[in-house]
Formats: sequence, structure tokens, C-alpha cells
Amino acid sequence: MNKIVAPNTLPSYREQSSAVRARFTRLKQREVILKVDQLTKIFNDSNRSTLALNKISFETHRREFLCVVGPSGCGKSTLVRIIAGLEDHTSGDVLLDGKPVTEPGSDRGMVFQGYTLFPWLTVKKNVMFGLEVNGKYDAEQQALQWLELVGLVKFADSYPHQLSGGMKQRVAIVRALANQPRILLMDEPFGALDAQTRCRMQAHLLEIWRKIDITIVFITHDLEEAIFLADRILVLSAHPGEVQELIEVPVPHPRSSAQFISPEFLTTKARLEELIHKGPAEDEDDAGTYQMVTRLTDVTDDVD
Amino acid sequence: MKRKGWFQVLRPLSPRARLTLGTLSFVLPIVIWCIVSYVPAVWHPQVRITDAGSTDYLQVDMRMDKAAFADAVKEAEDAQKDPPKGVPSNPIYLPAPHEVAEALYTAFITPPPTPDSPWLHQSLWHSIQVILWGFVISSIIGVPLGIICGTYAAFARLSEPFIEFFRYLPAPAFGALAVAILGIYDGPKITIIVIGTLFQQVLIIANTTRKLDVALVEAALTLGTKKLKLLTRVVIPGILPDLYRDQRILLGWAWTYLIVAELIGTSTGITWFITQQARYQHFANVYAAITMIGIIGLGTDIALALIGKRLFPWDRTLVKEA
Repeated sequence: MNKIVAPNTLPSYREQSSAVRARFTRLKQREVILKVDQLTKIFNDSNRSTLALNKISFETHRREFLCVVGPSGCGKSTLVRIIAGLEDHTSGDVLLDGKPVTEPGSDRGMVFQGYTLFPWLTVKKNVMFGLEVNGKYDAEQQALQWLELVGLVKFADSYPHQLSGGMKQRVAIVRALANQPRILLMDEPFGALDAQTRCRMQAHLLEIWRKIDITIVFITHDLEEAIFLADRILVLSAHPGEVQELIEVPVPHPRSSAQFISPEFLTTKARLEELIHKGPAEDEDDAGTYQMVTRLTDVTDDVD
Repeated sequence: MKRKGWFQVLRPLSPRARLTLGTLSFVLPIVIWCIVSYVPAVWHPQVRITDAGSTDYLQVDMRMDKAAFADAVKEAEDAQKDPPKGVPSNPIYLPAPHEVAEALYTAFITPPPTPDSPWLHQSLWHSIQVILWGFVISSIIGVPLGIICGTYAAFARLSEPFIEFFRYLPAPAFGALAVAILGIYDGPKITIIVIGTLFQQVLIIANTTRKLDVALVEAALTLGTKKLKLLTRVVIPGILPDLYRDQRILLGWAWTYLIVAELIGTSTGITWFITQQARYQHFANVYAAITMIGIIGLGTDIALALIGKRLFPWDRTLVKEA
């Protein structure tokens, strides 16, 4: 059984059980799918230029689940958009299977926070979209199989507006997967969902990831989400966005929600919080202002 | 807080309130018209003669100002003669509702003044054809151009500044030119409607296209959609409900150019009917014809709105509207 461990007695997040270590050894033996090398992005406004990403380098192996976390403004969305080919970069390289990324393509699927399902197409037609524009046969058959994977076959002929947020995002995930991309990029996909739905979707995503040959790069600002999902977590710092650390999550697989209070989980979370909140983040400015709230004269009793 | 009643900011009305208010929007103007027409104390600046009395310059059913009538009465009374009699009346250009309602019916069954001139329904049909051709020609050019301008910024920059300039030029100003080029029949009339509609159409549709959610285009890109397919499979279906709404508004716009257009060259259609009837001072018929245009316009729009709901079952803005 898991028990709550006091922070000072936590093991180091670098300590891995032999099973976890063996898993990482196997993971690193698999071929590199995505290689980001010295990636730099400068936004040029009319009168000033901002360094958004500074010399980002990392690699992901086949079937790895990589989470990217960082404070707001660290450019994690920009990073994933560059990998998707939706934005160009200033210098450095993004290599997918050794080939440089220059434009969007069906080898990199993407799931956005805002669902982005095509409202004029039924659920089934949405999933068929990628297959059809790429000229695949039996798109309908495949689409139905994908919908079965996420348990939405009976909604095949519904329109997106008739679905709940969680269902929409499931459709968006299989729409991206139906193209059988080499890598699935997810930009805070569960950010708009309520807490319960998000938990279910996380478990669901891990289930899908286990069943098919897919590498996932997952952007989130939710640290627990990152630990629960990831093999490794890329931690970025803000202004400019730089790699702080690539953490190997010591929490063993298969993952379950019971692990949220395991020592490995808590020590990883402590480390992430240390990394993310150490800089001059906005949170600290806020903390100052909380102290300055004066008690109003007509408030006569205490709540605490 | 109470969240009912008619003065809630940005809250939809109950279905009953919608129906009541919608009916009132038509009933209220008609009630005002009735009051002005049937209550002699309201307005009625003239007197309609019912009996000329001893005067030799007045006739029955003639209308004259109240002051002039009072003078005539006084003059007759001073001369110890039979004074003229009359009832308060509105000027001839404001017929009562029942007269217009009657005219709405009789105008259709009254044969034309000369055998070779058209019946009212023929005039109306002629007008509808002019509108439709003008609108169709304008749309054939304007819709694709608008979509392309909205999709490709380079195209917009190349054409929109000039179109912005051109749309301020009043379409009727091209009337004489259109007659010189296209003759006196329907050609110049259709041209005026095209000029009046086309330039607004390009700009409105370009704007509608630009309002498409960029995220949908990006999603399509990451699914491997390329170039032309992006236009045909994402942009066009994505804007279709809004494009349809724009077209409805623009069709109404085309109607407003009809009367001016039909005055160019030889007067035809409903405009010919209106000017004819006005010449004979059959103002009830004039109002009837104007009402007819309104009924056709609103009727078409309501029909198109209902068809739109059928065509675009996924469209959420239509739900709010209906």
C-alpha cells in the first residue's frame, strides 16, 4: 500500500527501481524518432525582438511518452507548433526520423486544446478527414475501427456540437491517430476539461498509447498530469525558454491513480515545483499582493 | 435577482414574448396608420367636399385645405347662399389602410390601361427577374473573389483598396453610361444592381472568410491537407453557413437598388406600375405595390432562412437566431 510520506524523508527523484531502470534502458535502445537540436526561435515585432526559445535540444525515442512542462511564457506551445510545422524557427534543427521538418504534414499529428473538430462534419467524417485528403482506401472502415477504440461508435453520425468536451477530445485524438503519424503532438489537450473528465481522459490516453505504436509529445502546465503520463519530462524555464532538465520519471508502469501519493510520485513533483517556481515567476509577484489585502472595517468575525 | 421580463441585458426572450413582440412590430405601425386615417381629430389637414352647395368652383370629392374651405363657407354665408359641405380628410397621398388592402387585391384583377402594357403580376415578375439576374451575376463574380480575398492576404491587398474606393461610387451614377453601352432595356438595369451589390459583396464575404477559426485550418494542415484542398475542404465548408447569411442580406441590398435601376432607360416592372399609378393619383395602388415588394422581400428571406436551417444542421448561430 502507498502511504503519505513526509517531504524530508522522500527518496531522490533520481533513484529508480530496477524495473524502471530496465524500462528506460529498453526505451533508449529504441530508435530516435524526434531530434530537436539547438532550436532557437526569435519573434520579431515591429520594434523589438523577443527570444522565445533558446537552444532547445532533446530527443524522443519510439513509443516514448514525453511531457513538456514549464511556467507560462516558456514557449512550450511555440515549441510544439514548430515541431508540427505550423511555425518556422530561427535557427537549429527539428528532425523527424532524421529528416528536417519544414511544413505541416501527416507524419506529425496534433491535438489542440480547443478540440478543433470540423463542425460541419459528423464524428465519423471528422476521423475520415485525414485519410481522405491523403487518398487512403476504406477510410470509413478505418474510421469506425478508431471510434471503437475510444468507445464512440454509436456517436459516429453525430455532429461535434452534440458531444461533451471529453468526447470531442477523444474524437480529436483518433482523428490525428487515424493518419498513423510517427508522432502525436498534444498542446494542453485536457486543459479545457473539468477535473473528473481530465482524470478519465489521462487514463484513456495511456490505454491508447499502450495499444498502438505511437510516440507522444504532450504539453501541459499540470505537473501531476505530466508525472502520471510521462516517461520523461522536459522542464523549460521562461524568458527565454530554455531546457532546465530532462527528468526520467521514476514512477513504475503501468500507471494508476493510486500512484499519486507514492514516494516516487511525490519526490518528482517536489523536484518539478522546485524547478518551475524558483525563477522570478508571476506567482511570486502575486504572493506579495496577497499580504497587502487589508481587512475591511465591517468584517468583524474570523473565518480561520 | 429576477431574470425574467423584457429588459434583461443579452438574455434571450421566452417563446411567448418573442411571438407577442414579433406580432406587435407589425401591428403597432398599422395601428398608428389606422389612428391617423380613421380618427378625424388626428391630423386630417384637408376637407373633402361632399356637397358643393352654391359654389361653382367646388366639386364633390375635391380636397382642399381647411382654411380655404372655411373661407369658401364664409363667403357663401356672407352672400346668403347655400354653403358647401365637407368632411375632414387626409391628403390624397395618404390613403386609409382599408383602401390599400382593397387595392392589394384589385390591382391584380384590374386590366392594364392599354392592351399592350403589362398586368401587375407581369410587372412584378419582370422586376423579380431583373433582381435575380443582377444578383446571380454579382454572386458569380463576388462570391469566389470574396473567398479568395479572405483566404489569401496577397489577393486581398491587391484588390480590396480599389474595391473600397469603388463601393463609395453611387451605382445610379453609372446609369447613363450603362444605357450608352447596353441599350435601354434590361441590360443597364441589371448592371446597376450588379454595381450596387458586387463591391459590398466582395468585402463582406472576404471578411466572413477571414473570421474562420484559424485553428481549424491548422488542424487540417497537421492532418496533411495541402493547398487547394485546404480551400475546398476546410475554408469553404467552414464559412458556408455565414456565407449563406451574407447572401441573404445582400439579396435584400439588391432589392433596394431595384427602383432606381428600373427608372433607367425605359421604365419597366414594378417601378413602371408605381409611376403610372402615381400619375393617375391612384395612391392606394402605389402603396399596394410598395407593400408587395416588402412582402416578396421578407417572404424570400424567411424562406431562405428556413432552407438554411435544413442545409446546415450543425450551424449554432442559426439556433440563436431562430
